[in-house]
Parts: sequence; C-alpha cells; structure tokens
Amino acid sequence: MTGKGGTGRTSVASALALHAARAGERVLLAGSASDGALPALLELADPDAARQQPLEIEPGLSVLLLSPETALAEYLDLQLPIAGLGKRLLASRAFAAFLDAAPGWRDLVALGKLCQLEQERAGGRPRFDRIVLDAPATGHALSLLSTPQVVLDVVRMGPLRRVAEAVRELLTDRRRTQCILVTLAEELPVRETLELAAGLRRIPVALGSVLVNRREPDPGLDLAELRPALARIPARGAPGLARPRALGAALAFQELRCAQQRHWLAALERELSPVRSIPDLVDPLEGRQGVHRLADRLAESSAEAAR
Amino acid sequence: MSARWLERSVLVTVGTGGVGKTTLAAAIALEGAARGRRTLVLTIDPARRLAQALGVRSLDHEPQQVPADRIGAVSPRGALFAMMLDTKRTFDGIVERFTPDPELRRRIFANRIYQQLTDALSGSREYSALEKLAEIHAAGEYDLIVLDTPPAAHALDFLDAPRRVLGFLDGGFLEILLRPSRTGLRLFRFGSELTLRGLERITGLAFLGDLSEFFGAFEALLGGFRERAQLVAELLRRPACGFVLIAGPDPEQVRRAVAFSNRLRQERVHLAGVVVNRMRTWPSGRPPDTGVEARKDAQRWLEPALGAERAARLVEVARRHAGAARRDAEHAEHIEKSIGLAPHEMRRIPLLAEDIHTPRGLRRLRARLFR
Repeated sequence: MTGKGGTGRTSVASALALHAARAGERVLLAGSASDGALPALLELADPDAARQQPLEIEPGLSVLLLSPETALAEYLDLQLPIAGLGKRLLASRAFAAFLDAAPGWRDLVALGKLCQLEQERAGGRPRFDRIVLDAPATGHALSLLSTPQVVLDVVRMGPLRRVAEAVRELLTDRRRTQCILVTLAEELPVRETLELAAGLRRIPVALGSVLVNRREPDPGLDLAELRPALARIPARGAPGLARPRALGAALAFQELRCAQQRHWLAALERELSPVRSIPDLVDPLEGRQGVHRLADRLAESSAEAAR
Repeated sequence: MSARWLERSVLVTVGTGGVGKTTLAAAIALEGAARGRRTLVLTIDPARRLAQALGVRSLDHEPQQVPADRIGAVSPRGALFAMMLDTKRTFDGIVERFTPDPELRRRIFANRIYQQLTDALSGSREYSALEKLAEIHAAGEYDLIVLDTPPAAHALDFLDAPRRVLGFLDGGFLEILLRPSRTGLRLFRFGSELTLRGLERITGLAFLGDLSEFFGAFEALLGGFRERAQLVAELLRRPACGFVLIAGPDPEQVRRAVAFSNRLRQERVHLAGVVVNRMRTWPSGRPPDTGVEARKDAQRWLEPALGAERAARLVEVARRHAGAARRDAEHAEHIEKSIGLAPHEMRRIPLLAEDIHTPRGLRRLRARLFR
C-alpha cells in the first residue's frame, strides 16, 4: 500500500489488515522498522519484538517491522558457508559503507524477507493468507518495487541474482501481488496517484484499487438557500455552536471542500478503477482504538457495497 | 516576526511529504524578493500549476525570472528566480566538470553501475540538492537562496546525505577495489580478504568487476566529491543558513516534527522557524465545546428559524469543524512547547479552501506567513 505522503496510508493499511483478520484471515502487517509510524499507531509495547519476527497483536493479525539489517544478517548466515563470516562482514566498516550508499540492497533484502514469508507454510497451508505491506510514500515505493530489476540489470549471476528473480516474480504476478493506492481527493495527491499508477504499469505491478481517504460528508444543506433563515437567528446570547456568522463560514468552507473533493474524485475515476472512498472520521484517529474504528468503517462500507 | 528569517542567506524548507513545503518555499521566496533581496527558489517536486502561479513558463533546470507584478516589490532591487532541481543533470554535471577526458567520461556515463547509482543512490536526490546549493551559493549571485527539499519519510535524510556519500567514499571499500593487483580484486590483508570473499560469494565476481571498473574511472572525481560534501556540511551549519520545518497539525506530523527538531539541535544546525500548515480554524475565536449538551443547546437555539432537520445538519457541520479546529490547535501548541519556540519562530497557517496555486493564493499565504 502506498500513496503520497500525508494521505494516511499507515492508518488505512492497518485498518485493512485488521478488517481482514476479523474476517478470519491470517494476516501479516509489515512496515519499516526505521519509520516509527506503525509502532506509534499500533501502540506496540515492545517494538523490538516485532523486528525479529512476526508478532501477533490481535487474533489473526501479526505485525513485522522490516529491518534490512536483520534481514541481511539472516540472509548472509544462509549464504555464507563459514560460520560467523556473516557477522564479520556486517561488522566490517567497508561493507557497512558499501551498503549505505549502494543502490537498493536494503530494499532488496527487505523484499526478500517478505518473499520468504509469503512462501512459508504452517500446518499444510500458507502461514499467512494475506500480507499487507505499509510501503513508503510514492517515489520511494516506486524505487522499492523497481529494485529487483535494478539488481538484475547490474548483478549478472549468483545468489543475489536469484533473490532478485524470486522477488520480481512475486511482485509482477497479479495473482500474488497487488498495489493499493491511498490518496486524498485533492489536486496534488490525485496527480501523484495518476503518476504512481503509470509507474506501477511500467514495472509492472498490478493495481488493486484506489482508496480515497478522509472524504468529507456532504452537509446536505445549501448555504445560499439557508442564508435568509440564518439571518433570522439571534446572534446575541447564542451558544458557541450556534453563532450564525460562524455557522455560515463553517458551512461555506464545508461546501467548498466538498465541491473540490467531488472534482478531484471525478478526475481519478476517469482514469482508474476501482475507486473507493473512506469517510473522514469526526473524532481523532489515534492509537489502536482509532484503527479499530477505521476498520469498523471499512466493514460498514463493504457491507453497503455488497448490498 | 518571521521576517527575521529573510535576513539569512540560505533558507531550507524541510518536512515530510504532503505538508506544503514547496508552496511555502515559493511564498517565502516571493516575500524575500518583495523586501529587496535578489532571491532564488530551488524547488524539487513542484505542482504543475506553481509555475503558472509564479508567472514563469515552467520550472526547470534553468532559473526563470518571476515577473515583478507577482512579487509586489517594495524595493527595486528585489527580484525572484525560480527553478527545479534535476538530479541526473547534477550528477552528470559533476562528472563533466571533473573529468576533462572525453573517453573517460564516456566510460563513466556508459557504466551500468553509474547509471543505477545516480538513479538510486540513497540520498542522491538530497545530495544533489545540496550540491546545487553549494554551487549556487559559491557563485554569489543571490542574496537569498530558498531551497526546497525532497519529500522524505525522514526529514533527516536530507542532513544525512553528505555523510552517507562521504562514508561511501571513505569507507575503505573503495581502497580495496582501487588497489592495483593482478585481477584487481584480491588483497593480501586478512580482514579485507574475508570481506571480499564474502562479497564475491553473494554478488558474484562479475559484479565486483563492474564496480571496480566504475571506481577506477571515477577516482578522479572522488577528491572533488569529498571536498564539496565537506563544504556543504559546513555551509548548512552557518548561522546564515536556517532551516524552516514545515509540519501538519495531525498527531503523526507532530511526532515527526519534534523528533526532527531534536535532531537539528544535535547537528548544530539552526532552526529558523516552524510552520504548522493546513490548520483548521474556527471562524471566530476559540472553537466552542462540541459535547452532547453543547450540541443540544445549539439545536434548540437554531430550530425555531431552521426547523429540526436543518438545525441538526448544521450542528453536525459545526461540530466537525469545531472539533477539527480544536484538535489542530492542540497539536500546534504541543509542537510549540516541545520544540521550545519563541513566538516569532512559529507560524500557523490555516487550511485555505481556495486553490493555493494561483497568484492570489500565494499572496494570501505570504500574508499569513509574514503578517
């Protein structure tokens, strides 16, 4: 799941994962260990526990904070025959500096870890029915997803190439991988979403759906029509929420926002499909409770859609 | 007032994606020009219509002059130029400058590693922005440079970029590859031997060969890179260079803003100010209470004139708006307290319903920033 920064993709990814878990799926929600957003949102008591391996936090929902360092250490141990060579390599300043600037190694081992988890089986069936990756924002997400090809272009043979091939197969098979774009019904997020969709087609990674977050509700009122009535409301002594001028301004703002959102939603729908809206929640979306509330909303909308 | 920001010679806007950094950078630059400074704004990811709003044909790698009527200049000396950073060109430009030999240049440009490296070098966009800044600053053509930065999950990526590139250049890894020997890859030093063996096993010999070729050709530039990276790191720490942190009012933004400002302090970089952007505001004074009783009171007050149904809907609109305004105000206050800012160092900008990428939108933004 990706999208322009600031569109709420971590919240939406978490809510989607929770929604799927409630429906009985065994879900893994994966995010980056270096970005603190996921542990903060889920209020993880011990984020380090979620770095080593998937940590179950709700029935059917596990969380993994992908750390390239951890994944690389695992990979090196697997690849290098001499015990402890992996550790020595990692301790080498030269190797650390190489990793630090070299194109895509971190992304590749993180994806490699996901690939491994996707293929893991437990009790005769896949360990996870669904893996939701809270990927970085647009530009970084595209380079993350392009990494296998970058490596294939540069590394002509060997174990690293095999990892890149396996990851590329996973990402480009639409039966196994889809990308969901989270956006807002505003100009820049929509333009970026359209560019992102084009970028995905080039890799290619299949587009699953577009989720438009924080849709403001139509107030169901017409300010122009309401003005005469508003003028009749006594201002002196009015309770805070009933001051007529403030109300007029709030309604005008809401109308304008809704009109803009409808405009940009239409721009999206002309080019991409399916496009679904997620309503803006009145009360703050904070912490694990917030994720539950958003998951409730998702459940309501899919029930409505089904009807 | 935040006009003190404009006394510096370099202002860098930083922050995560989606907070309005680029637009704010443009607004700050416009104000700089209005106050008589010869200003350049270097954008990274501009909205298509920002060029229109500024009255330039396009934002590309050549600076374009913004027409005087967009600036509303107070002093005739003021002028604004706008451009966009092109990462690839910056790197190519560096290669060209430091590699007079055309054959060598051709080898570098054709090398697969170079191609991938410039596209995907961690920190390369950030690093290019800094390179460009150093280049422009050294040329001394402008009184004020406003530098926009790439949207990053970590606003800190920007500061880390020179260090990462320097670390790569100085990591000892290059020495290993550049040390001449029969195959160019083997060294008879204990630690390095194992390192190389490990790498070969993982990446394959051919890749290391390519890498070795690349760095062999690239060696001439290394000195230049190192020097400039150090220059840039030093430039960023001067008092004349100030960072303006742009944040949004939601909890995640608050968290990042505070973390970032702490890091800036550690890095001994000057935080000129913080802008909390896109805040919801209540049209008159403090947002009112939105509790159940308050809503009932409002409903009762409005019903006679509007009827029950319309009154209820209007109360709902007001409730959402007031609730959002109160939360945003709380978050902005939290940022202010946690970072420990003086009043002139922090600006709160309301979410404007109108389109910001118009001359009028930019004027309103400037008015809010520098009032």
